[in-house]
Amino acid sequence: MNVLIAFYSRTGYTKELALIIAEELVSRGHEVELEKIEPVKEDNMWPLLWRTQWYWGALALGILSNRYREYFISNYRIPEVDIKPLAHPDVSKYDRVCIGCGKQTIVPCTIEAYLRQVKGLKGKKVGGFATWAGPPLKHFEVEHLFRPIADRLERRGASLVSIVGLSSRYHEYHNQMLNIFEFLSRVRYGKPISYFSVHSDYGRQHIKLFCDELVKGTTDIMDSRGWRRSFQGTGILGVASASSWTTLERMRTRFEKKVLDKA
Amino acid sequence: MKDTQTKPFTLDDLKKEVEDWRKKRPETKTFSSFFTDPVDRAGGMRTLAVLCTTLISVPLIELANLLVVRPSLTIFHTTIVVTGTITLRFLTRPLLRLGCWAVRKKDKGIGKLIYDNYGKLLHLTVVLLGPSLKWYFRIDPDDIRSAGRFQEWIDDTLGVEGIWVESDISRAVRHETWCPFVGHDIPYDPTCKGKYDPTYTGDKSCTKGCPEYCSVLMVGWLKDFLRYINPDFDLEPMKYMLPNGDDYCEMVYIKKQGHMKVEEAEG
Repeated sequence: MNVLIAFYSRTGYTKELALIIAEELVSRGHEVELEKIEPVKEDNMWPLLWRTQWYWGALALGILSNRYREYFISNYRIPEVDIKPLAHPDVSKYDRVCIGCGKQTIVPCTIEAYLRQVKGLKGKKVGGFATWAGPPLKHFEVEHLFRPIADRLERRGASLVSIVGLSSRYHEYHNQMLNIFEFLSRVRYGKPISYFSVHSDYGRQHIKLFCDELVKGTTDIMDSRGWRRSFQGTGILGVASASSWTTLERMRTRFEKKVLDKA
Repeated sequence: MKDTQTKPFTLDDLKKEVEDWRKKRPETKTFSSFFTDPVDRAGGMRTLAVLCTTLISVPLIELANLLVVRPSLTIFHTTIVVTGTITLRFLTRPLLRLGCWAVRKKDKGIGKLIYDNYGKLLHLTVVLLGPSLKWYFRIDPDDIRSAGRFQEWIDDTLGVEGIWVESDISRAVRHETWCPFVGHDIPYDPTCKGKYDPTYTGDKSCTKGCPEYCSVLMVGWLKDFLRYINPDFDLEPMKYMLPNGDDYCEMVYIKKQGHMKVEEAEG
């Protein structure tokens, strides 16, 4: 099977993951070719922060409302940047295509540019891999990164069949973000971030699962993750509000029954 | 460097690049770098500002929502909402983990007490929160697929990973492909070697609780909730389980009358 691994790596961690995946596929007897996606000009942290800061408020709102989060994830706009000419601009000759990147609050602009430029995606089974600072949080990391990619692939006639996201345990901007992720990881999974890193047992096992599913090509990530179905919930405050409302209603009913009836 | 990149990038090139990168890999700084590194300090202050803004704006947004959009509700209700949110967010996971601990310590003492009453506790959550959860997950009493959202929520809370392989109005099948309880301290051993391999010397405690916790307590809770939604909803006994050496735990949701109708129609 011919596999193309296209990746964009800013700090090097995704590049390392791309190598591990490539070696795993080669050891299984597949032919692997690589595509290094590079922007014409690599920005430093400030333009990147400027580009993504508009989304932070939306992230906070997403905590309040699942419906808004769904809308935001499905519709957020990714700014465009210029990327260097591709070595494999037409991917029609490959049986599988893997796309890898880091997470920069949103999908990296270079990946958006790559998905716009690359040809021959129709009917292709695509795998997505990524590294991010924190644990693989379902909404903030996995859904936030892979769902827009899956959407874009679907529009081009391709389908996302396999995904893997692992922790790099590194945040380029500031260490305090990593402390927050460490806290979230302990609260959410009861495990440190290192448990989800590329070289951990979790990482090794998930890379194998990723390759299995990529080769098999039968899973549709949009379906299996329930991303096509719109989530009609109203967020954490919604359930709390409903719970407290139910409790108040019950208290009122009981009060009416026991106290007012007697009176 | 040239502005064009038409030369193919080979695996050897990648290996060389990664080897070079590993020598000068950027490492995360320590916590004290906030005081020593100006860039880190600037970033930290920025994060702090965003966090503070969020913390202040959340209650304000909710208050505005309550006062403008739903004027009939009071500020007292906002307090309950915020308190309830925090409580739910932080208590759900420990509550579910408590059950797993109780399964392992069910022989004596406080573990036995919790184990004996844990089912009642879960039943109480269905009785108290059933209407809220039904409303929150937008569950349709005629559609078994919508009831699956409750399972997704539990999985999300516990860190279990699964996919829906079948999704029909009267039958839905979910495969749980990875579970933290199976591989606790024995990371990613889907065959639960810790339980069956006599030479394994690591911690086996969680693997002891693994199948029972799901197949008895969680399944009982799910069934309880499903019956609350619709007495025809049910969960079939689990045939495939990760700790038994299968590739996944299979949860089969069925709607009894729906099945009968299909069979009748086919007949």
